[in-house]
Amino acid sequence: MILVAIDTSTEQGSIAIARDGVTLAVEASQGGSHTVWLLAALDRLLRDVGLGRDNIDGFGVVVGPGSFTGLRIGIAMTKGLAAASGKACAPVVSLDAIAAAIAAAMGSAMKGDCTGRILAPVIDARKGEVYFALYKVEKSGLRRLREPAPASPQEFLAASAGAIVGGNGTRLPVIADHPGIEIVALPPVAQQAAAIAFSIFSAGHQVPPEELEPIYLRIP
Amino acid sequence: MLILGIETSCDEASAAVLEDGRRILSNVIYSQDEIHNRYGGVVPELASREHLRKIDSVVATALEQAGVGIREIDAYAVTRGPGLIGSLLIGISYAKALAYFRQKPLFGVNHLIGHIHAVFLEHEKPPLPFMALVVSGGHTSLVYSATDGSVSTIGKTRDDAAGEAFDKVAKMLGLGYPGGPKIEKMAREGRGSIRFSRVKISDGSLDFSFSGLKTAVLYHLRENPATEQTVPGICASFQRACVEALVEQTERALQQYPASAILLCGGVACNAKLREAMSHLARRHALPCLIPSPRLCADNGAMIAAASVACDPVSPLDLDGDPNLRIPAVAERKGTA
Repeated sequence: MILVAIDTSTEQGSIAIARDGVTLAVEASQGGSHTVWLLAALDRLLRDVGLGRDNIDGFGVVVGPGSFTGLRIGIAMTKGLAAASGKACAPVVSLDAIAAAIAAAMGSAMKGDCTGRILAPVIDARKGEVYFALYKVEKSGLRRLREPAPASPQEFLAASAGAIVGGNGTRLPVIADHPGIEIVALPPVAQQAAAIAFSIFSAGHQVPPEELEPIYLRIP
Repeated sequence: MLILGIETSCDEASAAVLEDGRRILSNVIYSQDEIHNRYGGVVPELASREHLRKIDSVVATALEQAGVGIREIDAYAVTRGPGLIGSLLIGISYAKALAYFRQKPLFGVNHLIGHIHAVFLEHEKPPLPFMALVVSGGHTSLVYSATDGSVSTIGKTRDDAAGEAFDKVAKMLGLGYPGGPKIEKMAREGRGSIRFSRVKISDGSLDFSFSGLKTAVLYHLRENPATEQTVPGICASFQRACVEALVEQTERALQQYPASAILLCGGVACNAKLREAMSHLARRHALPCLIPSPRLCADNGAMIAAASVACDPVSPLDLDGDPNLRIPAVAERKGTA
């Protein structure tokens, strides 16, 4: 199954094309508007892997939490691609994908490198807050311990003590400079979004494009 | 030739299927008025959220009503600006994806040019040159289409758009949003006998200013709090002042720029008094006055599809939103600005 996965939940967007959850090619944004780079990147990826648009079996998209405008661009574009192709979509929670990216960056969760460890993906939510969730690395995969929610950086630091941290929330000085914090740099998150999207399709939980909705976690 | 037009520049999500540039097969408009009503104006974040929620169904309904499938669409047109950037990006991202996936031409349309082309959906295009007054909640511009085919802004508002002034005055009077229809309805029961002072642009330009008029109403209300009995008169007086300002400046424009016709378009062109006054002006100058029917005055996808004839196709890979997109002024066009 060929899936295209899109992540525009932060300013560092990425897009991946994967077969059965395994990434064939991935491209990260080089800055600039998500509206502009995303389709050009999709076009390059398809050419790079020698596939056509009609080979795509479905779409995964990161639906939040994250940048409101970023999420809407990624979702609107995914809705358009899905409507044009008649294919279904898999909504991916941003923090789930980032947690998987942290695990990937640490080696492989399945190899037991960090089995038992707590992962704390964190996104800069602006207005002095972050979005975060907590995950435990188990032999069978990642288990979500705490649901995604907005919080102050201090609340995040208290909840994530001893955890491995990743995501653009780590650029906040109060988090970056926290003594003893273990931060990992992440690969483009669209790769993990593609793997999660594949598991959603495999479980039959894909949705038609009109059912894709952002997870805002904040009222306007 | 079937064109799918998508418009999401402000608080209306619309999609339309146009055949051969003229025949409207469908024109679905989803208004968010109820959502913004309680705030007395458009809340950009709410508008963006609602556009994303509705974009699929608006486009799907437009295709269904036109009796065509997505594969039968030959080209796509979408508003690229001006407007609220968060709103614009929903329509643009969606339209780009459709055009890219189906490998069809994409047109990024200037919303103001779209309003002018709404006129041609119901009237024969007049010979050049002609004058258009585009007047809505976000825009008040005099646009001149010259003999050489160039299109220039010759006058624009320096502060509030006319429709914005209607919205703000309606809010002051507790009438709700959108203000245009509410004030117009109230004004029918009142006499426009209050002389609200207007800002007259004294530098000889063809620009407009409505914020002074809005403030005049505010000061009047401070001295004379609105009652059930006085609101109709205030509405009638404010509406009259707005209409006079729009007509006077259009007439001054006609004295400077020869025209074969006057076009009135944009959401405020729904206003019956403005339609009447502009028609009267046109008659005095022995010119035709072309005004779209009210449904085509509102923001709609059909006008965006129609305006695609006036632009070159763009790559779906490159198109971005431009919230400040303008029609250049004459001086800019001549390279003398």
